[in-house]
Amino acid sequence: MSAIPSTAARQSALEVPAPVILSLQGVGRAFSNGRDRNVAVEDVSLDIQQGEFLCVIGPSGCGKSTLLNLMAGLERPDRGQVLVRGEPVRGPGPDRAVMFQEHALFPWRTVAGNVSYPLEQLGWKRERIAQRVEELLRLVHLARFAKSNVHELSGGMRQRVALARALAGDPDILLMDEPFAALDAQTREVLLMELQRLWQSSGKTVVFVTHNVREAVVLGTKVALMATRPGRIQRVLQVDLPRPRSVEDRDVTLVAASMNQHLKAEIERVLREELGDDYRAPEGRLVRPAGGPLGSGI
Amino acid sequence: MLRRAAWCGLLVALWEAASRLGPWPPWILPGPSQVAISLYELAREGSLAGNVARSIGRLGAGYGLALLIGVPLGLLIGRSRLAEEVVGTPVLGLQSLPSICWLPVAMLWFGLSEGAILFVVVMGSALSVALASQAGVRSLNPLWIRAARTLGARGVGLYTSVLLPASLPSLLSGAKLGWTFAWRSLMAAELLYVSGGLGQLLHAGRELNDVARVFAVMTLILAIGLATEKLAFAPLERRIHARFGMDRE
Repeated sequence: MSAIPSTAARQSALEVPAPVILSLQGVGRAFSNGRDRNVAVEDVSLDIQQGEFLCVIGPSGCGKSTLLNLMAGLERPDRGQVLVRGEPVRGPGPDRAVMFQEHALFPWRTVAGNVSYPLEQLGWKRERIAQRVEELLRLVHLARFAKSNVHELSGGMRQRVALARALAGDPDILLMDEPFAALDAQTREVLLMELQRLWQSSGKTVVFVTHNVREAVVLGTKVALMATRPGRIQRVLQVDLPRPRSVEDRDVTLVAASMNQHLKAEIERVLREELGDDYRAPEGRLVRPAGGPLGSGI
Repeated sequence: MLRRAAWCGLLVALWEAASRLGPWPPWILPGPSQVAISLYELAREGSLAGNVARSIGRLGAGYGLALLIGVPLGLLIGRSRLAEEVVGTPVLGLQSLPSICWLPVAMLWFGLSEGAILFVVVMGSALSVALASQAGVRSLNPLWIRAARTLGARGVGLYTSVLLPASLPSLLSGAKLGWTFAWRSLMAAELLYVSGGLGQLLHAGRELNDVARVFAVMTLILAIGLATEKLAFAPLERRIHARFGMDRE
């Protein structure tokens, strides 16, 4: 990719490649509701190396959440297989933590209670849990709020708690499904910085699904562009910008702009498919023929 | 609180006035003062405490049993499609049956025993508890269950650590509903089937043609209901709502 600043090629040639920790091999998944059969993901093959930060972007409905759920073990593939360290995934496991777009915290537990939940499931002793929870809450700057109820926190704080909870069991892989999408821009910016810091210091492997191109460029070592209907990986781009990166960095903007070109082309293709003749590509606008029924073809 | 008490006092005063100044003889509509005297007499006779204890004991046993049956049944039909298909409709149908309809069957099956009354109370409230629990489980945020699974919850642990606490608010409203049904069923059963308890006191009052005594027992029944609501359910509700952030007052 010419548009991507590519010290990448040189660098990876020098380094020994990290082992593949998560691998998708010819994975396909379709959903059927009644008559319609909707292929969410088709024939996706992808190798994710240990310590990598892979962002998956694509237009909404392209199957990126399904892809993440397949990795998490919340969905089973119809075809192909998902391997973690060479072992097929049979369900959710403590080696793969998931963060959802909505915080998914348990409102009947306090902040500390939420973070300790996975540790209780692992059967840890109470003192050890308390110690670990304190450590995690300090990591996400919420030590003061240990005893708070979930509904008393702001959206950004809730996602911090969710992050602490996801990290609690020390998973190798962190799967994140648009975790910052519902936050305001300032809060998101702060969390993007912190996530970079946490990733760099922990060496965890992260798969981060988003529809926000800049977010993907800020976070990812690699960015996978997905095409839609059926959902598949179109290309994987390497991002080699210095860290910490910010949404406002010039280079981030440039790289994001070039990625947007690809995405736009993909979105236009989908619109043309969906709307047929109603869609005129050159103007880049939706045009309805006069007299046609409103909303036809949508 | 003070204002509520003041309004209550005003209503009682109106009642007393209606009793004394109305066109009817006082034995048709006895005033609060007479009712209080009747209550005092009942207490002095010594039959009050025993009968109250008896009713509350029955209620406790029947209601406890109803919760033990209703909550798991509700969780089951809320979670399992098969269970819902098998028993969903019967539960819904039987729940709409007035509980006192069970009394004849209960007497035929259990004879003139405590068992018959217990049966009526359980049938009267277990199913409404079950339906409320079912609704609670159905309305759970499915994300909680997914999250719990990715955090290592499995099988029974998923029920005890997520489904049960997550449905606490609906379980509580189910429990409240169940309590009122149990209380009503018990009074109806005691009225029809003379075997001690507050219902029987009411019945005895009627046979003596003593409206004041009937009113006295009714006041007592009302007070027990109010006390349960205010002292048991209300604080519980406040705590749960505060934790879940459901207070929007």
